[in-house]
Amino acid sequence: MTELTVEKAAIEQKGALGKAALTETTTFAGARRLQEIRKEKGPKKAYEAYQSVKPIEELAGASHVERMGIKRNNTTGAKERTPGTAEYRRFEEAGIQVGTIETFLKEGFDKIGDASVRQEIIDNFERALMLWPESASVGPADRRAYIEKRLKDPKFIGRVKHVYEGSLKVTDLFDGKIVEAESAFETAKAEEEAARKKHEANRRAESSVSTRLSLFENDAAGTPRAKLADLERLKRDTPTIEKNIKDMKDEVDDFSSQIEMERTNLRLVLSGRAVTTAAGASTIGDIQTEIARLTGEMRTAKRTLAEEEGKLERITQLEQEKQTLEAEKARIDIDEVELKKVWDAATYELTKNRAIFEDAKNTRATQEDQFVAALKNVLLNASLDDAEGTIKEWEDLRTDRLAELEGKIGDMAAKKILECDKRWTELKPKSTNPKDIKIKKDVIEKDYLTMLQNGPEALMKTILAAEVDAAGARVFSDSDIEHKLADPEFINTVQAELVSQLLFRRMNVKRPTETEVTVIATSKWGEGMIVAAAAKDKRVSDAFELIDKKYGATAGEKFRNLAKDPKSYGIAAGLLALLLGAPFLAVGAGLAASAYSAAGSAVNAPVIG
Amino acid sequence: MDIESLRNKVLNDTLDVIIANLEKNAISEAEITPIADFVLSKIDAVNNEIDVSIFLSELSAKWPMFGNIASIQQGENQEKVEGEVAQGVLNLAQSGKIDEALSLAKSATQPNQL
Repeated sequence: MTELTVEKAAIEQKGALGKAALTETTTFAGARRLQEIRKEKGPKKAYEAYQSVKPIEELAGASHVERMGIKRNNTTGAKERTPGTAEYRRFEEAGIQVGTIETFLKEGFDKIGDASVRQEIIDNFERALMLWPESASVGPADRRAYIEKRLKDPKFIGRVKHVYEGSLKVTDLFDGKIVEAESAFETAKAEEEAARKKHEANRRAESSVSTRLSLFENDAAGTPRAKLADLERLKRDTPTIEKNIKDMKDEVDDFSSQIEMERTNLRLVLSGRAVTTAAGASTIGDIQTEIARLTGEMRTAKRTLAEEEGKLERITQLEQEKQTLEAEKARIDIDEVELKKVWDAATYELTKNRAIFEDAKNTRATQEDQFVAALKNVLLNASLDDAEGTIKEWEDLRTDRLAELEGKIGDMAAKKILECDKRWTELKPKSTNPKDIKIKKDVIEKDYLTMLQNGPEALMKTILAAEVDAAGARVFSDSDIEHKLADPEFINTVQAELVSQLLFRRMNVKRPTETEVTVIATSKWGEGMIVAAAAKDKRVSDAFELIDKKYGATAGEKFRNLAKDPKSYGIAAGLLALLLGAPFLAVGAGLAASAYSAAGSAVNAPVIG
Repeated sequence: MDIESLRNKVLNDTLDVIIANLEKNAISEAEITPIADFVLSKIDAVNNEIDVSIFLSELSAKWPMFGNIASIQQGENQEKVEGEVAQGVLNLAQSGKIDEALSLAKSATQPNQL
């Protein structure tokens, strides 16, 4: 096979190309990439695409990690994370990932201290590569070599940086919402507590008042409690009490009069007069004794009076106490409604704000999970991008190269078909004179029969399959030939020329028989060529116009019917020559000359051998 | 030619050399990076054709594959200078300044005058 077909066969094997993509050092793709960048963005950008990665000084990963967590120290404002919690584990993991990635970006793969981490990066890269079937044909050692080379390649480092920057944007770790939610929650909590305490105080007051009021009520058994019993008893005793009060007042008055009288007697005795009572003459001592007795009696009466009056006052006191307690109870009951309403509202706000705060915390936890997951996937995703980019680049190259090779092979095949006259003619050895061209009748006859029996495509196949290179190897593989014969454009390009040249050579050797003309005229390819030739040449189309309409309306019908009719076969044969062969009568010399132009000979019509 | 066009021409000429060498597998893609670093670090200093010659001389000293375009550029500059010198000598001679004309002509024939 030729170099072209060998290369094409190699490229058609995708696995082989995959291996090339990962192991070979061919630089064709690089040249194409440079040209494309220059074409699209200009020469400076083409250079910039190959510039070594600039030192990476500012990477924002650490500040993102520092934003993780929720609680802050009230004094310093620093985040406070509790070891052992999920939040703390996320924080630690993010820190490890950021450390690894930034070490890779700033100092290179080899500076990642943990050998197991380096191995994991290589393993992930290999897994990414193996997602493409092309990689399967590459051995593990070659794959590892490729991966280690890529991990130090500025373009791969650029990809990692790009993916890393994307991972830092994957989620918003902004604290504003959490701080706001927490503040609202704390406020709601304080308000709820205050409302609850007020409500509880009111409840306690109500309980106290109710307890005191209950003393003015019957117990469960219907027995009056202390104060009610007291009140009822006093009310019941009121007439007696009032009588007692009256009696005692009278007694007091009586004792008061008696005392006054004794004091008058005492003044009389002291002035020397005699005072005589039923018991006889009274002395000063007697009178004083009587006054003392009367005073004592009056004091007792007054005490009893006060006691009785106190009972009446007690009724008033008890009634006032009851009224006061009832008023207090009514006020507490009113307050209870309002305070309960306030407490309920505060409880609702607390529940709502607690939910908002919890939601904010859950959202943050999810964001942090996403952040950590994105960080963990940075090198893997960069590896996937890189592997995909490499494979795609090579697939594009493969497709383009195949198309290019097929085009070249197609051109070569067309050239060989169009040079078919070389099959039927031969220049005598050592001669450069076209007059020495010999016609190879046997080949012409054989090809002519092949065409009549199996059509021009079979002849093309024969011609192409017979092509060999200097080493005797076939120029066109069977698949090349099948591919070209399935291409209508190729057939359109070469078929008419091949048929015309063969008919020209055959007619110079032998006139076609009636059967042969019929075969040509009734075959799909033959009729198509006749119609096309008639349409191109006005002389022919005019000739067809003159032919009786009984042979048909179109050129194809007329020719086919002429050929089938023994009486008009001669006309058909003549037309065939005119249509397909005759055009070459005029250019035949040129055709032959072109076939032998390599010999540099003069142009003349060939001789028939 | 303005400065930007001059720089682009230099960039394109050198890129052509790189592409041609890549296509014939004479260099690898990895070898482009140091060239790109060098070119990008120097190209902004190129402001005229003399700078172009200096730039290409340095470039070809590091990477001989650029020798051809460096030589071509030097030749173009030489021709240009020689043309300018010839016109100057003629003008000086016509003005009767024979000594100056001779001096100028002599300077133009000195090696490494660029």
